[in-house]
Amino acid sequence: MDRKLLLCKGITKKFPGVVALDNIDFDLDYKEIHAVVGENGAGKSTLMKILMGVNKNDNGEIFLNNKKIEIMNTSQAINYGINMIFQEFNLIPNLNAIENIFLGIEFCRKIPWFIDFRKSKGKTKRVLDELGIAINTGIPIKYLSTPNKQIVEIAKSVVRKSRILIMDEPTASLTPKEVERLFNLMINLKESGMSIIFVTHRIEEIFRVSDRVTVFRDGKKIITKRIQETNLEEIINKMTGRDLINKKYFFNLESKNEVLKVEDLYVDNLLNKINLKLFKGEILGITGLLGSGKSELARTLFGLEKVNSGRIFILGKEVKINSPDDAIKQGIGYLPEDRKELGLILKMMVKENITLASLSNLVKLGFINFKKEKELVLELKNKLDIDTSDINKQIQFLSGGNQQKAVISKWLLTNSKILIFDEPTRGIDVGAKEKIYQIMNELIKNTDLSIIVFSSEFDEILKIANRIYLMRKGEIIAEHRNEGITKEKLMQYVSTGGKYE
Amino acid sequence: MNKSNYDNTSGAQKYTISLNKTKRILHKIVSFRELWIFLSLVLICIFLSFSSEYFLTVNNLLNVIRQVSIIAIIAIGATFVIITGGIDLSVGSIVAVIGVVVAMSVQAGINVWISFLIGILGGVLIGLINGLIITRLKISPVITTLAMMMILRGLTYVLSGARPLYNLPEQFKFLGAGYLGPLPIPIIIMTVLYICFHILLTRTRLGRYIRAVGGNELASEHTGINVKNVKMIVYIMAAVLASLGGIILASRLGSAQPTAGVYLEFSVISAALLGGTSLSGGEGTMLGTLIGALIIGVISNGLNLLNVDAFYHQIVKGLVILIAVLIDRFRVKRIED
Repeated sequence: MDRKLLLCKGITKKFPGVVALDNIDFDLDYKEIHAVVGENGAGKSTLMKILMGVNKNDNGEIFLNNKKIEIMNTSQAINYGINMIFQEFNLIPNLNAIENIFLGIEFCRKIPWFIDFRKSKGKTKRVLDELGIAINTGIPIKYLSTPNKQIVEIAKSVVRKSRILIMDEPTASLTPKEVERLFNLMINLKESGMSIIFVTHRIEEIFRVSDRVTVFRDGKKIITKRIQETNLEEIINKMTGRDLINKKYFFNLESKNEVLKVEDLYVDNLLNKINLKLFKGEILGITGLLGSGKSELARTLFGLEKVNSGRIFILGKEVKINSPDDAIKQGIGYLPEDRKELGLILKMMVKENITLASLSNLVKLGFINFKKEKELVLELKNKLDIDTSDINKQIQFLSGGNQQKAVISKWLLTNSKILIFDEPTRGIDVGAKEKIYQIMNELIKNTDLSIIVFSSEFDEILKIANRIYLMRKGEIIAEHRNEGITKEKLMQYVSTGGKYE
Repeated sequence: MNKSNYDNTSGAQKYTISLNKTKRILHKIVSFRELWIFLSLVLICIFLSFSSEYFLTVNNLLNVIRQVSIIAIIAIGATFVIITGGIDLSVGSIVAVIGVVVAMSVQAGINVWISFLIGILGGVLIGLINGLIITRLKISPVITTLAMMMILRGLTYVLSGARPLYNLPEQFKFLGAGYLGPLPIPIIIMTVLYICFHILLTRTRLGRYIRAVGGNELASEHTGINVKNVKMIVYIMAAVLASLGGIILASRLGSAQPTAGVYLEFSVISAALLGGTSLSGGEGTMLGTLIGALIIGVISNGLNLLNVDAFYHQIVKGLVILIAVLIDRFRVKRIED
């Protein structure tokens, strides 16, 4: 038998009502980057949790270096040399990088309890030099950018002499340049002897760094393949069990009814001279890199930023939008990027979340008409196919896709004319993404809505938008119909600002 | 039912169905928020009825409820404030200052009922100031209401010359010491208020907005709710209810005491927490708070009946809060399983 660094045999994990992992075999070679992909709920995070000792497998065996091990808790996993970098990071925000890296394993001077600062500083510097990266190690970690926090996490696992590093969605909030730096770093780590399990939603990335890829679906392992022997289409088909990749949703629209017109909009330090038009029944895409001002534009249109100058017209009538309340009254609905933080009240019921923006229509003398509320919510539940057994359930128990549908329902009830989607599919898996695109498409076809999608994923924009605005440094630098442009050209344009033609 | 027609399958089915139904009902009971806290109240009452023969008399129970009614009324406001994720530490001082203001107004010859109205309006003003500082100047509720607590206590001493105000007319005592039939007036006021505010919290738009703001302030703002106004309203509610509490207390005692309501804010917050209101916001019920207030009252009464040294009372009350929170955590776990 080949010697493997890590070998999992017949791992099964049941939770009440679901089999999260069904007889899974998984292995990791020495010096390997092994990508793990699958939709939400496919079982990949459960396997990672078992490897980290957060959950205990019901059946199956785990071997490390051909020796059978039992991982009962997280500190045991770390002792075995298994480390995980979570999406939200495990860092103490008010400690600096050095303190975070050595947290729990501080070097001590001869007198117990006193930390040897010089030694930890020196070691940190050596590790960061090896990684080829310079970061400010003297300031609290909360002032560091996301990619730099990630570096600190990586340094942490290097200092702890990890043999296996699990990275959960490490590229989710990075710009293309930062992703490039991370990939170089991962390859360096591999060459220095570490093996990496790379969990990701961005399938195209696995071809750039991984040696092998394993696909999970519905708690089962579908395939493990060498990366040279497979391609994007195969992986996505295996993940979803469907053929989705080449489906495009956008359509050419010849409407000339302006629903929204923005003239010379200016917001201090954020937006400069924004001019845009939204036509009735179209999906307008606005894209740009991180910091291009697109999220700020979305927030401004919803009354969340103070407008310094400029004019906004809705259906030809000039309006003032100073608060979300104003925006809602003018028929604008906003689906924020961070659904859980900004879009939902997790502890409240599904139905309460759905009617929260339009309660005034359900109220007589301040009292809520519960019967009418239930009818309206059930109607929307059927229309958008929201998968919940009970509309009185707390919304936190719904899946990400269904939560997104609930937020859409909320705005359908306010009689919105314009829906603003800010990064609608961030953190959502491939299958649910397609579902959201389908919903947008159906909304356009079956209602009077017009949609603006703000997204930094060019694939997404090219897939659904009718027209595209490109943003850079708070300005709109170009407008394009979704014809004959490619992802590469978009990328070149927004990153250089140079002429596209 | 005809026994010869007994069908095995349908019998089994029926059994499963009835089992499921029982399970559902059981689950409903277990997840019923107020159940555990209610059981605790019952347990304490059973214990006390065995320890003291006087406990379970109509007179004593009415007395307990009357004593607790002031805490219970003020705890309504505290619950609303805590549901929005805030806290109000100034209610104890409001009780004192409004009591003094109303007594002074009566002594100045103003009609008793108009004086009560002046007291309530004073509460509106204080709540408005609290709310404005918290929502417009964005100072945290703890600091704002702590400062207000000290300012109002000082104001009370200044106004009263640090002396109790006596010599109030008989009419003044009706609200606190009067009866309607066999029932003390404060108990009637408390009951009516609990019913009204229960309806407000569960059936009205304002109630839902209050829960939404506490559940997730940012998301509420992004849904078009005027978060600032909702917060203003709950701080005004809290101050008005505290003023009412102050009026009832002065009326019951027949005098306005400048030291009234010291530490009262903590009893009030305890009642809300005992009743399952979550300090992180978004959760809380009127029934829970009422039971919480009753527990505090029953324990005080029991300690008195059992002749426990007054110094131990605080220790016992502190322990009760810790136990209540532990019970609540146990309940949450059971539902998750």
